[in-house]
Amino acid sequence: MSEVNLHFQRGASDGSSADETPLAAAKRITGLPLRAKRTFSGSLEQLPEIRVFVGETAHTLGGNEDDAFACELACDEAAANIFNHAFERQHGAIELHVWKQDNRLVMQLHYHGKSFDPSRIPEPDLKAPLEERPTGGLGLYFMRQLMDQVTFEFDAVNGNVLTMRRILNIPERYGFMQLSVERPADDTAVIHIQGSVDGSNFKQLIDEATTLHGEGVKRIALEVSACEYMSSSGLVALNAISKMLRGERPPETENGWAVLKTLDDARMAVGKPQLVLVNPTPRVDRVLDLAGLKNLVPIYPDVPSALTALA
Amino acid sequence: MELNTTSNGNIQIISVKGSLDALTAPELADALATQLREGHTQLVADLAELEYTSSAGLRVLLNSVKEARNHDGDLRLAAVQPNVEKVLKLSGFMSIMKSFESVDAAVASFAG
Repeated sequence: MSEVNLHFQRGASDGSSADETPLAAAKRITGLPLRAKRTFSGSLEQLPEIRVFVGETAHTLGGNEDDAFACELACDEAAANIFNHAFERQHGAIELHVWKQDNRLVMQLHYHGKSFDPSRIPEPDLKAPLEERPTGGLGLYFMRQLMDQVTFEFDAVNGNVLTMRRILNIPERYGFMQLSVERPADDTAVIHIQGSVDGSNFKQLIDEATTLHGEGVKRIALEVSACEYMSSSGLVALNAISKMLRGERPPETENGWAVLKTLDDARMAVGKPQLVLVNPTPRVDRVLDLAGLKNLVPIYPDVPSALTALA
Repeated sequence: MELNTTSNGNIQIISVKGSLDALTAPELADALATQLREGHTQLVADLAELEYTSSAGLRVLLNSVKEARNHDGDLRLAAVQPNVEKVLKLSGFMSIMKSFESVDAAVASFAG
């Protein structure tokens, strides 16, 4: 095994600086891929230590501030759910493994306890008015938002495993977006979106589409296989572009989410589509689904099938 | 986590220091519930020294906002720090809760 297992404690290592963690020291000395493991026994009073352990390990394994914060919060939520629900507030033990696999940080929580069906935990409606806000399910929602992959395996005999993965060092995960455009026909464009579409950059996407529209483009395929994240602002952009292609005045984007409520579902559904999406990631797909946009902006698995549908 | 309650006229100011998580959130829930039970419905959560919250802390805030508004009052946030703001944004709570730069501004908002 080319891995170093060690219990995580701040402190002395030969030749280390005062701030160097044992994990960092081991990496410096051995040059081996690293894996940190620690068992947290007890209950909710373990949460602060779990956060410190995860945050410091994420840093040591090369994550930036955002990565460390996301990992701390996701792991806190995961552990709190296990202590509260799987152990029913009785004492129990969570064995926490953290390692790096390619460019991903992997956190794995091993424990024995009650299982549950994650698919039965409703996704919270973040746009609901106060009275209708459910107060449950938020922890799982955070885990899924903060991590790129969350999987549960339940095994009453060998124990349960919760695995969370996050791609490290995506430059400004919330804010980085790169667009590239292809013109397969005079009136048709494919916009490839890389990174994340959110409140800081969605107007850039609208501007790009507006420029193309001015050049005679009537049909657009948004290829989003490399789009890591799309916030509600991204959805506002989709709506604005869709309206523009139909020759309508785009909504005021300052109205934000409210413009989605003005969607004329029926009209968008009839006739040939002018705006389609290509190959969204499960994460983006979920956002579209949540907003009820999946029926309005058709989705195709690849560019050729999208172009056939637009033609 | 440490809690400290002061008042300014009819407004109760609860200062929260440290970290809010599944372990500490019930204490804040108790403190806010006590205020509401005693008839104090105009509440300010001073978060200047709150470094961290998980969803457990947000649940407490959400429940207290609901309860306070049911009694024609409100729970308003003051001096939210960056890590806490990130979590508030992630939850969509920023659209529900009123948040102010400072305790003074939050207190003054009740006068309007």
